[in-house]
Amino acid sequence: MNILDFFGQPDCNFIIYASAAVFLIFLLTARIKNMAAGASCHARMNKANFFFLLVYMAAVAAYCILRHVFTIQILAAFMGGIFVFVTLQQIYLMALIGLVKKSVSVTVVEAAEMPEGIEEKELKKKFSGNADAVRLNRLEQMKFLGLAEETQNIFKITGRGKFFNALGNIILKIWGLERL
Amino acid sequence: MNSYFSAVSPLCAIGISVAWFSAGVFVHLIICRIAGTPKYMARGLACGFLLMLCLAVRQICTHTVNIVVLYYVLTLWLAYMMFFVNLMNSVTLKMLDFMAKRGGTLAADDFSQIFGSDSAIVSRLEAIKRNNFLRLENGRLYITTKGRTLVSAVRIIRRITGVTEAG
Repeated sequence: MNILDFFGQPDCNFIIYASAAVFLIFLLTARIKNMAAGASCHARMNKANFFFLLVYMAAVAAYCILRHVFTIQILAAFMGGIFVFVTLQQIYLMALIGLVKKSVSVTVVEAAEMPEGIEEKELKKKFSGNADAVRLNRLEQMKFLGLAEETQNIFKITGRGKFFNALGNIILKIWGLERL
Repeated sequence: MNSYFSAVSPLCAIGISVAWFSAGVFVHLIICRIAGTPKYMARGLACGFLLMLCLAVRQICTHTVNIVVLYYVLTLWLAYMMFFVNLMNSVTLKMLDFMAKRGGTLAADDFSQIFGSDSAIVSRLEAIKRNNFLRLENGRLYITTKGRTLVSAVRIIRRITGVTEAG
């Protein structure tokens, strides 16, 4: 049995290979076009990834039409292919980029890299401003996501915000966990 | 030669993956209910590692190793962990909860009471020192070998991925 014969059906295997191949093309395109550079790389990469996902879906649909293969197994393989494509981006690639780009801990460790080290007070002072910026950024994000509304610097939770907050708290309660 | 690898139908692959993932979630739920929040991340990763180990051992013993099934289960588990990490750590969600608990209306400055600039960096710095990435000597912080290895690894990944801005 071949390691790459996942499903025992060439058409279904092809759908998974195509998913990995299109993702590889996306990766090469993202690297050549330097999509990870700059401040808004997450939005840019997600947009490009969505475009390549559409290309993949169209290619699989065309393949199925040309070969007249429409079965429940093909549909399951197609769902699997979409899962592979989306998770390679969201679970692996973006987590890696998030770590090397946005991790506060990594930035703090980097700040103390010189042989003479850095004063603890100086380092705290340096990153205090960052925390203020993060707080303001998150307030803006709440507005953008429709979780809160702002009127003259007063923030009010929206119905959507109440719903997501309650949902999050219910899940945490079931698992017996608390916010950190 | 008897191969360790085996093909399964796409529907069956989804069914097996969901069944293993659900079993892992059920065990993790019980562990969380018993042990609570402390060391949540370490326990979650250990639980995921054991889940993957059990699945791999079973597949090897029954000569049914299937890369797609292993990928599905591993990725579902990582997504599940990321969901909880975000739910527990997200500053946006914490601010939302803070606002909801105070009647749903707050001035922008009121958020600084709980999301103060010092508390965030102090707790992060303590964790960094505790994990031995930095060491404190006479009020100065010095990078350790472990910290230097981390920074070097991050720089290599930045070069490969083309990340130019950090922080």
